[in-house]
Amino acid sequence: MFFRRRSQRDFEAEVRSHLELEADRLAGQGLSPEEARHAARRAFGNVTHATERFYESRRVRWLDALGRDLRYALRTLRRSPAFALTAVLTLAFGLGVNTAIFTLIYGIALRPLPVGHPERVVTLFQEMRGKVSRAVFGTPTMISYPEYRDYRDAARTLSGLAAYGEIGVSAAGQEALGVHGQLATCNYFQVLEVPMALGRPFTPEECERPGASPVVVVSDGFWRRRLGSDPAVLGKPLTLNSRVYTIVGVAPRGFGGTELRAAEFWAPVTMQGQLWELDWLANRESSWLTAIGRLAPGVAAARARAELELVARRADASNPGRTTTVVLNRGTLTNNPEMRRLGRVVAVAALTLVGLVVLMACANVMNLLLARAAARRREVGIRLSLGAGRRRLVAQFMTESALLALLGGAAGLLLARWLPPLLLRALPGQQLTVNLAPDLGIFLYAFLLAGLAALGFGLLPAMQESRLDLVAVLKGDAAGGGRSRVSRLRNGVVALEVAGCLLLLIVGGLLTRGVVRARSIDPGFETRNLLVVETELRQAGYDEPRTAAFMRELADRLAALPGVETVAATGSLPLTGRRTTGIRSEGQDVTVLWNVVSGSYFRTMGIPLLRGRTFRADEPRAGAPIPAVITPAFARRFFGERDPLGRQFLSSTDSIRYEVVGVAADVRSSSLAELDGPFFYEAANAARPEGRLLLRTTGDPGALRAAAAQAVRSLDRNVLALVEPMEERLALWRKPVEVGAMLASLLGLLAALVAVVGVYGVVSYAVSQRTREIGVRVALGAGRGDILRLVFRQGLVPVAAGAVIGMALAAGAGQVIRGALYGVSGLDPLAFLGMLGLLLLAASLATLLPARRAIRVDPAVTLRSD
Amino acid sequence: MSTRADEPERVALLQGTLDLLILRTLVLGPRHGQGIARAIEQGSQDALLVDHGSLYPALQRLEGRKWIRAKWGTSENNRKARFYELTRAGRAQLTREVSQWRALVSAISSVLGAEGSRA
Repeated sequence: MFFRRRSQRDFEAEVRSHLELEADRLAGQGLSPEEARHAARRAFGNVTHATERFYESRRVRWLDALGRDLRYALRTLRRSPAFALTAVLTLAFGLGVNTAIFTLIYGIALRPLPVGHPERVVTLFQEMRGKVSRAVFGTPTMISYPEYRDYRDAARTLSGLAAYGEIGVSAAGQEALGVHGQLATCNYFQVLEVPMALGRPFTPEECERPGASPVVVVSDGFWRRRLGSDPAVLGKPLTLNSRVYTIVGVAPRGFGGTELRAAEFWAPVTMQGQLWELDWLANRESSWLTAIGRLAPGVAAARARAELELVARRADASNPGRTTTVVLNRGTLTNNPEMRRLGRVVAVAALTLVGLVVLMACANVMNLLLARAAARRREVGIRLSLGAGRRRLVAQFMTESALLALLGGAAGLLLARWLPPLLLRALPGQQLTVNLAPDLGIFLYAFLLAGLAALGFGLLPAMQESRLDLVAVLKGDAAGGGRSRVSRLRNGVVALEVAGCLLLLIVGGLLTRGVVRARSIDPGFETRNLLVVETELRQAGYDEPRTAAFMRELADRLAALPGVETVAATGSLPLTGRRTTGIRSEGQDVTVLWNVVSGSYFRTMGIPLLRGRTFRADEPRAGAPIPAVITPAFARRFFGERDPLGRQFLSSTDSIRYEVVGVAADVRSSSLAELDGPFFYEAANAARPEGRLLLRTTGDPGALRAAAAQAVRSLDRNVLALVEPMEERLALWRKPVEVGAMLASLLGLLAALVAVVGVYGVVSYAVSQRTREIGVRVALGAGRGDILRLVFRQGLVPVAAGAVIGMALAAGAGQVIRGALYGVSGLDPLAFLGMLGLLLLAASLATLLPARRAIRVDPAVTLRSD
Repeated sequence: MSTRADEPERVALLQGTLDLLILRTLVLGPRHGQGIARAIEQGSQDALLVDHGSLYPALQRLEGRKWIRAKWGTSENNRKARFYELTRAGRAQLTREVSQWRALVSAISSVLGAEGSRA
């Protein structure tokens, strides 16, 4: 039947043939042909009716019905725009947040690589057990260059095998900067089938002898940003770590390698010794390369793995006690097994969380539907009594649900387009290769999710409402029993929603309070007129004596700049991490806060010197104890009431002797939340300089940025310098907290919206269920106040329960994030009571609408309908 | 030949019995729709009246359940007609329905018989 569906024409032909046969028979009995035809027709009855019945029996009927249901659903939704909008928005939020997280996970870990025929690309790693001793740069599952060559030469099941290792270098140009790149085997671009936008990929000869081929391929982004999209860039020089390379190619747009972090250049793997401080090319027991290959046509990954295992077996044979397993994964942006394992855990956790968000949204829409269905009981009753089948009714309801889910899913896709880039930007980090553009996979996911959601929120109301007791409904009776369990479930859902959103709101509130507090705290030192200058001398090939000379010269040049008051050297910057060391006190090792600074540090930072003196330019002197400036907290802890000046103490190894020459005020350098504990400053040794300089400026430090960078460049063009006002550095440090505060508040507000919709749904359902009861109460003399109390109790009981749970959870969370609150209590009343108030207000408003409907109940009308 | 006056009293078919009669008729071999109607009427000595209009939806239904199958052929007087024949499943269904019917008939007649004896 399904396959050989009959056409209507075929059926009509059969009816015609019947009429002819019957007429023949009757004519054979002596009737005239005319009479016979009429008689046959009479005996058949209504031909049209039979044809209609045939038409109804055909399967296409469902398509026809679907069209009708869809039109009907659109009409119904248009007639109640408030309901439609609420439901669609709720679903858009739930589905959107979920799809957004999926988009991120998909982009990071699942999406095919931006290379030719990505489906055949695999990555190769080794998992070693037993006696293993290897040098690791990256992860232990990476391979060495000799191992790579063994795999490449043995593999018949791969049409090619390339390898790459990640590397950071400084590139000279207008000003030196840090760039991230990859050392790649010379077949890299050919194996990945990545065509060059300009120039050529590496040639096999360029990987033949170590150090012999200073050539690079640059990324499209690097070419645009750093080389001004120069069309004649080929053959031009590029200085990497003080050595000149020739640009031979530009990679195509959108290709930044096959790792999360975008590569800006590629150099032949044989240049490792020149670009790195290490030379591991010949070291078999080292892990630093990721091998990426292409399966030969018609070869399954399992067969290729079996072949590569043989290579690993041979290597194990010369390493007794070691077993190596080859891991062959489909190539994505997260390749190495460690990252995949971690990623899987994070992905499952994140998807579970956003799965709950979808469940919440579904529960809400279900509540709305139940409330609405209660109001539509008459309509359903009438349709049932007019002969609509129950299946047709369920189909009708489900069509409405599917329409809502699709609209919500479509709106959610917009959210999913906008949210992931924002989340990625909130992550600290550099250029990423993650592609977040929607593709078929994402659309399919969103579509399936919407379908599941439609089933989730639509099925129960549809089943329940089509199972109406006809007689009772048409008589105007309220619903029968068996609903209390459903309504308890509904209340539970609302309570959970309230708890979840209150938790997010309070955490957001706490973090925001922390951010505000952080801005108003006086840390005890100047943060405004300071410029930080950092240099990377080791990458530029400087040894210690040259570094010392460079730093001395640089400090002099910076101090000579107009607008610079003082220059200081320091080992670490306040508020960007803590540095500690051990000292010996009464035979015990004690860890204290510590920094290595030049004598001008205190004036530069604006830290008052309370007693004694600071370091002199010729200190520390060989043979004498190293001068130290301590803080009052240090003095109290180790010297009590005694005068600290001139006292000596030892490092925990007993190797260094310090002498206290001064006392500087306590500051908040490890956390704005509290004053530092015991702290001492050690005099910086000019022969072993720290790489950081601090400049105190008279005006805006940002204005000196270019001049300071120029000072570094004038000494050596190849030295990478980072020049930044202290405020900007601190802002970067504070950013995670600020982003956290923003995200938690934003999600909290969205969740509050969901919860408010939930409350509204429950209360309006309850009111529509109890309209008659309310009518009776009013008839018996209940006032408006009584009715309002009744409705509000209904709505606010689950809210109150949820609020208690949410506050308890938030109190726990407050303790966990205490470190990010800058001294604001984890139980800060403003955040707790403020957010609680906000939520209660919103919930009351959500209750008010149905409550108004309740007090307008006219007993005369409600009771007459019996 | 019968005239209207002495036409025997005709009984409309009970609901659900049409399927059974169609299946039974087809045991003897393939027939077209009109032939099936004739066969039922003749088999009941014209006591049963087959509503030709409901015959075809019934055939359609049986075909849908794969109890019968159909193909176009030529009737004995050279007219094109759609011929139906029983499938294996249809045969099995017929056996089931016949035994159900027998059980029903004997049950009903025993009830009727008991009533009748009391009257």
